[in-house]
Amino acid sequence: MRRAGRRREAVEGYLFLAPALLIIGAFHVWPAIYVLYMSLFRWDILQGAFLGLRNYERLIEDPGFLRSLLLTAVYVVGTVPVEMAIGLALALLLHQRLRLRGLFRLLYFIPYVTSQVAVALVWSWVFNPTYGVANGLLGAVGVPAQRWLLEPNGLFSPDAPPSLALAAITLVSVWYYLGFHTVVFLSGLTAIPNELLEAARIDGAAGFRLFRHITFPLLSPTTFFLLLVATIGAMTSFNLIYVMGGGGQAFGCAGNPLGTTQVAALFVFDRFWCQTQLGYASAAAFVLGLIVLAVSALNGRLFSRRVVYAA
Amino acid sequence: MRRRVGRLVLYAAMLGAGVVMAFPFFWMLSTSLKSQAEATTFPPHIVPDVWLVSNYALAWAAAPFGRYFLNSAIMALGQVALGLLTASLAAYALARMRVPGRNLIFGALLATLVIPPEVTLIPNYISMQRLGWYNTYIALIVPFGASVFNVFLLRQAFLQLPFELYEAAVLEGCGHLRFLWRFAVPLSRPTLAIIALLTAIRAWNDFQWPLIVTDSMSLRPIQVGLTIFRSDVSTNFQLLMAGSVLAVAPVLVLFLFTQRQFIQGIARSGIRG
Repeated sequence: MRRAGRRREAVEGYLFLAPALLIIGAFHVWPAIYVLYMSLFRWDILQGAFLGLRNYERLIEDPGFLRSLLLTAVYVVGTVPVEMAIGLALALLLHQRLRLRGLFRLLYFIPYVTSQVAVALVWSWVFNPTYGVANGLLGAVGVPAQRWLLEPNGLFSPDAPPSLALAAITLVSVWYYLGFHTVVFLSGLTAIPNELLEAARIDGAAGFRLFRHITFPLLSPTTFFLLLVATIGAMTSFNLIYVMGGGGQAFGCAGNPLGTTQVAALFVFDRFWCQTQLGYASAAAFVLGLIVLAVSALNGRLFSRRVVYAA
Repeated sequence: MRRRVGRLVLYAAMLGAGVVMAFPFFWMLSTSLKSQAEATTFPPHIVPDVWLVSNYALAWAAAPFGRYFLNSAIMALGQVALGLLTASLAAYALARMRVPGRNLIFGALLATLVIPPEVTLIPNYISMQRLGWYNTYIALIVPFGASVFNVFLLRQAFLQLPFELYEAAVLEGCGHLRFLWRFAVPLSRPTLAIIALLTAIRAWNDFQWPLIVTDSMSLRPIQVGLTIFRSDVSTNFQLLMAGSVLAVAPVLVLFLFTQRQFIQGIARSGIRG
């Protein structure tokens, strides 16, 4: 009797779990396996001949792919530390007992809820080489007009990435994700027990020393979490770069000018969608996935030991 | 005195950051009200000389925005409804039912979070073709109808429900489904609201997936429509900005009304799009 009841409950439980597991399994787990299968074939619009690892051999010799990995690294380094540092600064600011802090928190957060397509269009307009307000500001201080999103020349030196175009996109990404970092850091700051800060103050710690030795270490779980999430997000970033980098426009499918904004996610999309090389694009996607996994694991190894938890 | 100067510096920093963060929205609004001649004046005017609210009517007429909005709304509501249903059932089973392998299932679900969406894009596109879902609302809704984050959040909420409540209900002969529906769901309303809100806004802003699985005007959501609109209006920047305002307005209104829950939800779950 009792056993029958348990069995009924188990069956009922599996039925409860079934819809979620089915959807997550079919559209999240299965494709991660199937992408590996696809990558072993020539696969244009339809599945073609079995190629073994030839797509991967092609990949490591493809300068476009190697460049896309380099550009992804440049983009990650240009966005993640910057948005985290400014986000932390703003969170510390908002953590003070200042008037209107609710309003400012709201203001900083707004970009993050708006669509990346719409804000990418606005920023493209800001960076318009002929009529844009960015050039208007430069003109006001006597700097010559720039081509911004159309400029393949490097920001620091003509041939080295990032191009001015990628640098401008990096700036927009920081602007977009800043509010996310601010809000998460702020909730981390709020979670620090007040007694600890009080005790440190009584021991004479204040200002930067208090931050350096007490606040920042206690904030490390939040910092670590943000680092991980932001790095993964930036490594697979697509929408902003696609829309601002001239995606779908007359001058190319994904990642312009001259491919200097074609980061890894755009490379995958370009080979998949624009050139319909699905097998080859799958190989690139799989490699990108492995790199993301490796970087996450590395992040965990490097930083998790330095994370301090307030007991 | 020093304290007051310090305060002033803090306020100045906060305000400066606020101006930078808000400027693109101001600029979008300002441009959307200019004539084409004024929009293409250089150096640009910060505030329009003449305010042409009629640009919005022109933009609305220049593309099927009504249809785009409807499609986005169907996609968002569909994902919210399906997402709440699947998450409630699964979270309840994981939190409250004696299911063999429960912890294993939960662990496996969490492990799937390491799969980046870029990896699943191409096979999912193939699946839509094979299932005959390509260019249908089903393709826009079902693949996003369950999320591990939602299950995780809701499981936490269900775990916090008082256990005595359940025991009392069982003595009354209440089954799991009824308990879930009558007690667990109503008592977890704040969490459900956060999930609904995050899902709706994410669906409204989604771009890459609808771009590849729709190919007819009648199914395209607003973000895809907006990129088509860009090539249609070419140098009519004031119309493009009016269209962009239209595309972000519903989300902004929703966000302004729910910002407290929304920001708390983000801080709690740490979802980054």
